[in-house]
Amino acid sequence: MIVLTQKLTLPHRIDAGALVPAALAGLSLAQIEALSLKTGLKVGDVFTVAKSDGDVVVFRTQDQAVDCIGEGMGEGEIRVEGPAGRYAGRSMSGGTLHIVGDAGDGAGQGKSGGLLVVAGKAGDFVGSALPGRTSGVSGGVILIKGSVGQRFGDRMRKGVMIALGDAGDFCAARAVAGTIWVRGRLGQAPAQGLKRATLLLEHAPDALPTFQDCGVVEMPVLRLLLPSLDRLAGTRVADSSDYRAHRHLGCIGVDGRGEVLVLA
Amino acid sequence: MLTRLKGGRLYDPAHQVDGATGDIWIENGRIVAKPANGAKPDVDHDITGMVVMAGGIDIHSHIGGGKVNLARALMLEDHETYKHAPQDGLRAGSGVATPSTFSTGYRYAQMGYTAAFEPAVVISNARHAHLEMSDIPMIDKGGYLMLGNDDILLQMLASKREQSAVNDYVALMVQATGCIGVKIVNPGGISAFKFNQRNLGLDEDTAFYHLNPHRIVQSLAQAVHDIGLVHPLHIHCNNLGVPGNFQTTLDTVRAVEGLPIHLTHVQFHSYGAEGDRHFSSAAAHIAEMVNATPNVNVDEGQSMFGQTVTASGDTMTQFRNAGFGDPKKSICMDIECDGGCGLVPFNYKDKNFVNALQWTIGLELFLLVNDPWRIFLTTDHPNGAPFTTYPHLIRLLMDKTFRNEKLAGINKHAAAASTLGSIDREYSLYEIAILTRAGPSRILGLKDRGHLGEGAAADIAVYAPHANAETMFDTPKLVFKDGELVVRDGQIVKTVWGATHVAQCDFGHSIEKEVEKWFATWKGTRFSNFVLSKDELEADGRSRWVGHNLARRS
Amino acid sequence: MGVMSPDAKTDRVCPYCPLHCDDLIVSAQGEILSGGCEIACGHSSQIPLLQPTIAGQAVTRQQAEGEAARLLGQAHAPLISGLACDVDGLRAAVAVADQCRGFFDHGASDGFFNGLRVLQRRGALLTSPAEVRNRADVLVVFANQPWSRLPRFFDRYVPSGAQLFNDAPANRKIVLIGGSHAPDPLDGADVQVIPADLSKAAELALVLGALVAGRTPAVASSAGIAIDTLKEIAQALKAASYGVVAWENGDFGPHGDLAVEALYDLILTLNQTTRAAGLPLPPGGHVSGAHQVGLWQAGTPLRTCFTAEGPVYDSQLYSRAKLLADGRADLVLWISAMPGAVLPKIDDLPVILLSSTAPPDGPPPRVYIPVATPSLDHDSVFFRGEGVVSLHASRWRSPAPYLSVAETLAQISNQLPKGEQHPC
Repeated sequence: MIVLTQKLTLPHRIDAGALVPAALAGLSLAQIEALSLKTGLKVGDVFTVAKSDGDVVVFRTQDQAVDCIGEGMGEGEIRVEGPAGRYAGRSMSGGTLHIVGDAGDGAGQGKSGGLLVVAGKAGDFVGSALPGRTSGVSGGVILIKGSVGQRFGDRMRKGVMIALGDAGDFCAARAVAGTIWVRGRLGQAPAQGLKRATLLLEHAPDALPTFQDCGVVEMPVLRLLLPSLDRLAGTRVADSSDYRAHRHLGCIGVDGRGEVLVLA
Repeated sequence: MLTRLKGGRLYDPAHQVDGATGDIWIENGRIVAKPANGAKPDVDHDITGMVVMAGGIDIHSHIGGGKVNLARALMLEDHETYKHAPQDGLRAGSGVATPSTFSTGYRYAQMGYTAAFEPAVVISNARHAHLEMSDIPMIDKGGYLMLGNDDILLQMLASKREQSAVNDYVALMVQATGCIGVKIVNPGGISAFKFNQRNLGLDEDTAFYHLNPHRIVQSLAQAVHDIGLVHPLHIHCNNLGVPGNFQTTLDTVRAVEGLPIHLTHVQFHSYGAEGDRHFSSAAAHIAEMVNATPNVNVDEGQSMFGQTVTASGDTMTQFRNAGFGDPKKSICMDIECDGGCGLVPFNYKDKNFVNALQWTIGLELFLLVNDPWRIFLTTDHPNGAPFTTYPHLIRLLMDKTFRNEKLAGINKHAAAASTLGSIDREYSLYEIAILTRAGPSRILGLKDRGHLGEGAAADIAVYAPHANAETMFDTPKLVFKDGELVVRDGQIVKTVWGATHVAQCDFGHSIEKEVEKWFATWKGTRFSNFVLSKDELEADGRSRWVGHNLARRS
Repeated sequence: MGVMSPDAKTDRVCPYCPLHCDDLIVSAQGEILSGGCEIACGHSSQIPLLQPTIAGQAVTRQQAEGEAARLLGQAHAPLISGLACDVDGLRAAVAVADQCRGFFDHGASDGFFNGLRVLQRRGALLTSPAEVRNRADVLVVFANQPWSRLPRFFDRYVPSGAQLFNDAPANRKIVLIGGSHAPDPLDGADVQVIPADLSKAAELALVLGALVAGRTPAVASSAGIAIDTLKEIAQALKAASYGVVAWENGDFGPHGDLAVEALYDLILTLNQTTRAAGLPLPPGGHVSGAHQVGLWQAGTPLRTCFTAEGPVYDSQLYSRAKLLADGRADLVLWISAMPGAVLPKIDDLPVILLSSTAPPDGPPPRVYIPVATPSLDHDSVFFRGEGVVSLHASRWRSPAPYLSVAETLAQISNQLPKGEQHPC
């Protein structure tokens, strides 16, 4: 285990993107301390480093000034004991990133695989697309146990995203495919420009002006989907469901064939 | 200061020098005769056995202007992947398919190139193109003005104005935009697309003006000839990329009735529609035409495998091809009653039948056109590939074994459909020097570039011979720009600013009044604030405006 | 307005708004005699009396430049912003950002990025002023009230006279969505003004897109506009030979990119059968020039950090506002030689201000250096707001006793401690 304890209130935000398990494995304590961060500081300037058996990387953070934790990680495990800054798990392709505290904006942006869990709440643009990319998350699982900010699942292409709390405005905008499940309430204008993705809800959104209302229908697919979501989230939604949902198809503004399902 | 390059093997096709050993003397930026008084050189470079050529000249490369900048914005990945820091006096930069201006200059120089010409200057965007070119260090630059979809000219042709008026207009605009040549892109088609016409053949009428491209090309080729531009009309034919388009290319040559013309990125215009997939090589037809038609020059527009972006003035074609975008995004723009532009990212894949066949078609053309003075080495940067692939392309031309190895790796159906494997030709160093130096300088009228004769500008590349031509051309031993040593072992040792080559034409006063009125009425802007001048271009201390005086031919 | 004199200068380019009208006539003293709108004429032609300062204390220009160089040389992460200046000033600003490993963003680029984000993700299908002027038979504008900042917009883009390609320009239909009233020059034209809530512009555009494609949304209205009205607009665009969809990037809020993207989809749908194109209204403060120059010199747009590895672009993290909020920058160099990029309140960082006007009220910047106003005081080049046409502006009057931005930055750059010589 490699434990990186944030040791000072930073002069400015730092970018911890380089400190993923594969990069730290096999390095001595001194070598880790000597690693350069993008901002010019060295690891040893910012963190107290401790090392014991195993390759799990633990960040003990004080505030949300440490950005890009787990950026690009492809394997292994990172645990953040405290809050994570922006872009935690950006571009990750595998492994597990577990944030015990809150996560900032852009967590899981451009992610293509692996598991990202945030025990607290998370900021805006979680699971969205990298700047300039035509689509967003293309695989793996994002689980936010608290609430999440605006543009959750923006442009998602594949995989599963879950928010057990509320989600902010413009949730699932432009999502191409994949499944986004929000247990709490939604902000305004969800699912705008939805192409083929599924937005699964338990509370009806305020309005879906660019969707066709198909009424409450029996959805056999939920017999498969809900138990699998329960397994990922540790919830028991399937137990009380009759697998019926209020179904909305759209977005008709982009000739979309996605669906917003509100569990009945 | 007197400099000597001692004992190199000289390749100077302009003077029929093919590998003879000799010295080159440089003084005040020029190549000079060996001093008669026996003066000793201040600097002596012993380059015994090394290959010496004039600096490379790229006749067709999209290096600057509005559409290039749009392409840079579109191609984020290119700039994330390739970037360099400011160091040793160099500026930072990024990108390979769409490099920043500084990167463009550095990379050209690092390959032994000392000039490149931007082939698609939109009238209204001319100042922008020059501003960017001014920020490209290390090399000489110049632009070709895009005409033939501009509403002023189309109006003139539709109202059957006499050729002399067209000539005056072309001369005025070339002068006003600081260009050295004239290009026509999809004749009439960019304008027609604005009227919702989606395809345009050579003998179809355009919407609104009811002109056919045949007539537009003919008139413009005549004007370019009459006003005395050395470079003949630079033609991007109609129907780029369309299977069967070789016929349009052949028809275009007939349309100009013997006037000198330059067909650009001819690879994209040499397609047949044969076979199961209705896409085939017509390289043999096009090469046969070139071989038999001395008034025609071509540049290649070779495609190479990998990620790039297609950047073109041809909005009609680019809109049609937007669906092929990889990544799937595109930009199209209608521009100021002058033209347009379109950007579509493209990833040429060696296992894709069409992409693989495009690659073979380009190489077939290179190898089947007999006269190296009438074909020029380009990738239509960045449309076929970034210019940084030139060393690889040179090896493909010079090394049949290597070429056939690569051929074995492409899509099997494309390889089977191609005659490339049966062609034995290998380009010599002398022929490569024609393709990349002597030929371009001659066709552009750059009398003091592209050769190693006395009085020439000392733009010189020195290469260490190597069995692998790619290695040799990728990293010159020494590069001189206007007599200064700027690159050593592929590293830039000094930054310099090149010149901008500009044609200087005469035109009647009446046409200027007419254009001034047109600008004020239809564009709502003043011609006087649009015209570029030597003083303005040189005010930043970087550009040097080199005028080439034209003699009217009629 | 003064009296026309024989030494009046014609065809002068106006620096005060992104239309950069170039038909102004000015007196030898720089007073506008003709062609000036209310914004242009609201600026005094008097050369302001300004004094370089350090911490509010008057100093010589050389002292101020030296202090600016010292601060820039010490900074680890300077933010070069404002950027309201001419092309040569911008070239020099990028060079300084490169030299000092700084951040580079315009002082008022938030709206611009609503459009750029979409261009980078999806692309664009755009038109330009002369095409609109001569071709548009339907113009639909999504904007609240941009005419006060672009007084001659209609005069320049849709003048009442003839069009090259529209035999009956009087039939040209103009629909202003969001605006509360039409500007004066439009009296008599076919103008429809439709109040709307533009914070819902994304929905509105998606609904219009659905209507153009023949799909009817199951709602009675969108963004406050009745569905029947929207059907008429959709029909007009579909029936147009060359429909133009214009919008104000800054009116759509912080997630305005979704609105711009929905408008792009609408334009793509229209182009399946007819021609249509988009027109972002020109942004102020020479954002378009800053974007172009930064892009060609670095290869990356505004919001670039010149790192030790080269330029790194991040449209989210490296915005001027976020950099200041996050404390990533440790010094601000703010350039404001023409209107459009007002220095924001910055309490916790040293500021070097290059401005053609006096510093704003409040605590003085650490260093203040007055600079000349481009166009008025020196020949300059501007990109018009649409970003396509750049104009050469000949100076209006005898130069003010201040250096241009480019000259000032060159003086500072020459004193920077780093030994690297840059080729500009």
